[in-house]
Amino acid sequence: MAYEKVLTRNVGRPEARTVAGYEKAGGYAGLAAAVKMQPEEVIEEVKKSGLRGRGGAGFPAGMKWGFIPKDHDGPKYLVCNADESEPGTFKDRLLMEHEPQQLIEGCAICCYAVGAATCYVYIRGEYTAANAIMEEAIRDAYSAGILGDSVMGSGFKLDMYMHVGAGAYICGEETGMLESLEGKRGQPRVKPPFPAIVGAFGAPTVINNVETLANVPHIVERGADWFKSIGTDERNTGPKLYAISGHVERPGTYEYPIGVPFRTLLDGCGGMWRGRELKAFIPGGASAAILPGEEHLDLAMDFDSIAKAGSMLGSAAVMVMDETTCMVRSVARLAKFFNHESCGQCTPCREGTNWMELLLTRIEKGEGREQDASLLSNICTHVAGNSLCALGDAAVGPVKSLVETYSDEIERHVREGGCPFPPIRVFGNGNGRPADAVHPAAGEAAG
Amino acid sequence: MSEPTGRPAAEGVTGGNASAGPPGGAAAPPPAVGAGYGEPWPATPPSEPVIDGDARARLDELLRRYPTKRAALIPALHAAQRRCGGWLPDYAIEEVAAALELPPAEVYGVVTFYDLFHQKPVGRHRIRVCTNLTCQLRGSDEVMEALAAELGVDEGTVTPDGRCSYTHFECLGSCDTAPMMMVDDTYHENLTPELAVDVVRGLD
Repeated sequence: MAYEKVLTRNVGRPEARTVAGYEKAGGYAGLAAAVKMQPEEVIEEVKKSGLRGRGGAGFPAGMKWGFIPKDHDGPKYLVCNADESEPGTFKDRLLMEHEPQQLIEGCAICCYAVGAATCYVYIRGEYTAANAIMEEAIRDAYSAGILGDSVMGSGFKLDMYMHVGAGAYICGEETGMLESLEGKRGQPRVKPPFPAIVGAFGAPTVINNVETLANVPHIVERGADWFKSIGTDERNTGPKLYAISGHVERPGTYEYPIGVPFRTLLDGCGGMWRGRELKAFIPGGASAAILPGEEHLDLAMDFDSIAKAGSMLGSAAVMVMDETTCMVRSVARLAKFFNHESCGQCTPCREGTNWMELLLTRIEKGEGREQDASLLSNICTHVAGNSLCALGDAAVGPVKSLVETYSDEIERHVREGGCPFPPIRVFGNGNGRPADAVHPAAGEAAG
Repeated sequence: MSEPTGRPAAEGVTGGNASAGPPGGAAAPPPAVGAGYGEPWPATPPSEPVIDGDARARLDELLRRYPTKRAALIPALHAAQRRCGGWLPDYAIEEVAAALELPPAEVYGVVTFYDLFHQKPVGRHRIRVCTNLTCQLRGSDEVMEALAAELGVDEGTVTPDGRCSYTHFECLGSCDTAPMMMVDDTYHENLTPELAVDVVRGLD
């Protein structure tokens, strides 16, 4: 059965960035229906759909909305997490650049459901094009009466603002984001209290990822049962964007029903590049454990199946590595990233990420010692679970899988006094073209 | 390029104007304030106060959007950095602090936390090469080598003519077009070392 695109219908159609163009393509039917429902009914529908957060943690979105106190006397907020910084992830950028009205619609429905009169879209500072497009789309939505004093004539008042970040991975963590929104260093807060009770500016706050909110209009318009008919099972429902990169023929953002086998993703993007063999892949961004390729070709790419395989769906950033890839070099780069991005608040993460980078860099340079692998394992056990937020655990993910699955490569580096793999050279086909021109694959999902 | 140490002589450089008009009714579209993308970057820091005229109007619009003054800090720092040629001299930081009634130390704390704020002069064009894993897998190290050879300075150092500075950067969310780099506000994607050098040579 052919799969019909849901989230990326308007990719490559710039006219759909306006309210008029988006409505012509069937947009804003979800919001129109939502404002005629009771807010609790909207929350109930999203709960029933089984929609889980698309940012990384996979927390049920409807449940999150349900935590917002109904009798709260004062402002409530929605903060849309558009700080997409997980290495390998670029799906939210696509949604904002090509489907800005869909995101505005999703945000508006959420705000209506939880009674928030203000929505901040926290976008990472590097996403200049996406921010400009969103700003324009928001202005258009105000002019068209989608936002402002009376959302689609319902009398519900809603303001929406873009808030530009300044380059910090940790601000993608929800409480780090709230701190940053409030004009502080993006250091995560102690939980509880959870943001649903004490969030932005001390008020009840929902924080949802861009892709999560983009799903919402479709759930309201077509119903939870339709949404649940897509996907693997009750716990893994709906359409999913997979950002595929690395050593494949056609990297890009692909929309599939959640839970398609890894093999389908790989075939859909033209397979391995240059006819090379698959070595390994990371299923869900830099924080996820590396999985050996061949034995996981039939792995269902959903939350629970990947967790069972020892990794995580995360942000569904699928990074594919061919046979020439040095795992030590790759993980050393990720360790460098986590060391740079650790906010420095919790000692185990601050010190642990630093040591992980130092050790892996020295192994890659051929200066490793025999005991370094066990030292790395030891550091992992001291970092995991010992920090306020998930960054420490995230940093451990790839390192632990390196030590457990590719210890032979560490040994070879130490024994041979250097990296046995060739340096990486640029594939000569680079055309300098921007993403728009090379995104035709986006949404070209197979059945 | 002379390294500014204090306020330079008067030169009427203003950031662009995103028509931050007076607030209309609540239904009026909010003016774009954001980070002032797409505006010209002044080559030298302005002599006049960093926050005046258009910048003041923008800050006022920002302050209407949040329940606290402090929440406008990061957008205000972005705007100040634009006006000061891409970095934040001490006087700019202190002026932002005064405008938002914050202790300067708190503002310094924020400036040092974020990668996009700079406390040292940068080139007229700022080049950020993504070198995170997916770009590394497709050859970003070679792009860095090519830029180093072309520009003849170390990473993070401004070229003697003040034209460029380059650094490696964490994932810029363009892994499908790796390797890539960001020059000022623009992504350059699907690079080869030759294409990267061409881009740099094409900068004014």
